[in-house]
Amino acid sequence: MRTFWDFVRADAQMTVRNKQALFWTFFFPVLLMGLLGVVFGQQNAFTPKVAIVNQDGGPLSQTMIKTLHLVPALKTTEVASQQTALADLKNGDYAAVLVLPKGLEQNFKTGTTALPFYYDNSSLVQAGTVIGVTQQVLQAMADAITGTTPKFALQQQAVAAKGFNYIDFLVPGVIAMALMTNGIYGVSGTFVTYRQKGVLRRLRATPMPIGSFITARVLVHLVLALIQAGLVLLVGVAAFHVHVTGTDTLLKVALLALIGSSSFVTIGFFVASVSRNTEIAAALGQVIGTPMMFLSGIFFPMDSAPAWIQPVVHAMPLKYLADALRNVIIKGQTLWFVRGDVVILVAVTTVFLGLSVRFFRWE
Amino acid sequence: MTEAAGPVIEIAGLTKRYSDLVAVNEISFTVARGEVFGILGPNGAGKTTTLEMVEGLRRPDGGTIVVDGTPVWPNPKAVKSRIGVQLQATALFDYQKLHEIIYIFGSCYGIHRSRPECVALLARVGLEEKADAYAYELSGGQAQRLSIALALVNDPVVTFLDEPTTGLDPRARRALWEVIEQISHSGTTVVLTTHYMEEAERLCDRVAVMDLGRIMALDVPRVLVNSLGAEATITFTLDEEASLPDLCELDGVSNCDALVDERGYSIVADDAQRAVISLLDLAAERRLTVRNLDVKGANLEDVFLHMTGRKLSDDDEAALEPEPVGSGKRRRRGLRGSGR
Repeated sequence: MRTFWDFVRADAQMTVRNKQALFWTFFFPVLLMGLLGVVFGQQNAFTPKVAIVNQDGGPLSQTMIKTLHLVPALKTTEVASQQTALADLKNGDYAAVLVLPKGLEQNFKTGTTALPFYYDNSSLVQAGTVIGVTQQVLQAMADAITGTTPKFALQQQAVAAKGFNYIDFLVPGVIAMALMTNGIYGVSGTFVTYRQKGVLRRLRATPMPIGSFITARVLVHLVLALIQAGLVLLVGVAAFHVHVTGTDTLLKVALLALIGSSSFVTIGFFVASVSRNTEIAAALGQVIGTPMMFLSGIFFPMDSAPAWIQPVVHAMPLKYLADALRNVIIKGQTLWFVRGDVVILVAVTTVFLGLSVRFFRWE
Repeated sequence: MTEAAGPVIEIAGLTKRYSDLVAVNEISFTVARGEVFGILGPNGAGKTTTLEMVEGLRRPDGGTIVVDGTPVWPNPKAVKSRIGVQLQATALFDYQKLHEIIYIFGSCYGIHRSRPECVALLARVGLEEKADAYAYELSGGQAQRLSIALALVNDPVVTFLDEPTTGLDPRARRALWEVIEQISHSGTTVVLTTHYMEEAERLCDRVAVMDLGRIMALDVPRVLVNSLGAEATITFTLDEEASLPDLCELDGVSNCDALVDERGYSIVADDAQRAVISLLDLAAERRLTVRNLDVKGANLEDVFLHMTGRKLSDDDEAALEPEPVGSGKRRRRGLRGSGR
């Protein structure tokens, strides 16, 4: 046990002394967040999502939903319960909720129909767009059907919602990305170097079980991951006023950072195990890391990406870490709420741990 | 704790195969307590493979190895704590200072040294002044001395040095020989591999000459050399453009293929003393001045040449030990590398 802690201390020492690597570990995610935050931070860069609650269910309501669905400026979703839709609106999941009330068909024939319309007033520009577009579409539709003047009137109600900006979306993504790159590249690079230089072989000539050495290294790495996650979050809050919801958020972020980091550390070990030298390890790391960085919804949400790429998106472990962190940081969700993501991350860890052990090589 | 009598290493029928290549072919030898035992051979002879099997790093395909009364295989862990190991070309942790490296490796053996104790071990290899330096700041010779210090970190009964001086310049090599002699004087048994015959002659009490996985000869270096018939090569130059056509008739000359080139004369004698005396007599008789007279005795290089018909490789860079199985591409043993 004392040997284990000796290695923890030595590893921590080496990490702190490697100033260059340390600088990039911490500086790169902060730099990336800073750049994107300054450029896009306060914009709402995404197509507004509108929930439609259909309480009527008649043919006219169906046509209205289909028509709104075709409008590129909006992303519509049908939601069964008005209560759920409003709760999600408050949570920042939707920009607006449109209700098609009972008796829509009847009222349409007799005169102006009032449609309850709730919108998120935290972003006035976005609210304006959503209201304007919805109104125009419905009006044009009514004109086309009747050729006369019966109208839909949007019964507008402002709702104070959380109002997320791009930076809110970005910060959890950058945390996830930093944990991923550091896990995959850091671990694989270190271990392939140790193997190539014969350090592993030399350690093998001692009676110490190699497990102590690896565990110590991983422990130091996980502590580094926690500091990394904390730092990005801190800068996000301090410099870009990221909305953090929930009081125990830090604890939840720490837990998710540990779980996520473990996944990427084991992927890193797998890369190290199957790579003959540092060049191959670096290349393989890139092959795994780069698509993950761009297809996991780190910088932009992937919901609006083409359908054919969705299976790839869902195969990215990073997506689940980013999703979980987002739900916890900006929506204040519980760990139980993100259990699906956690299960997937733990599964990834298990699979790659097995593969790493299977392919482990001393030299 | 150790039985003072009996050999410290007993090896019988040791064999290692890599698919179709037999790297080590049923070799047997013993190493006595306190001796410096050398394994001499060209690259690819099986020296490193042999050491790795004794060190518990590579599982043999046949034969037995007993170190200090304990069989190494199938469970090498027991032996690992009693032996010191210096591997070929080991680099170490970049961001650890030398005294910290000594500490951490000691810790691997359950020995937790104080800082002065770490520095004292560094002093044994002449690195006490570098205690606060990082490993990457060391020269080749210093790095090699550090790895030898690590081979002493657990106060081993026997320490294994795998080509400790390969790649070093002559000065660093001589400095390292002194370090190895000190280790031997302190009572630790030393087993080393080398492909420098000069090194084997200087350091080793006994030498096993290895080639193609087999031990060709095993004895005290002088005995091996003497077994060749103790030939010596005599070289000299003459002042004038005089010729000595009758060199072959000199007393004690065994080989008449006297060489005459721009560097002078070269003859091989089986009795160097008689040959030199008769040469000088002849020169005096004819009023010639012999200059640059040099008598060079036979050495292990000649032993190796005699036994294998090949020279010991002097290409340091072509260090081609067989690769382990499972690493995909298997390298052929290279008889000649690209040279320098």
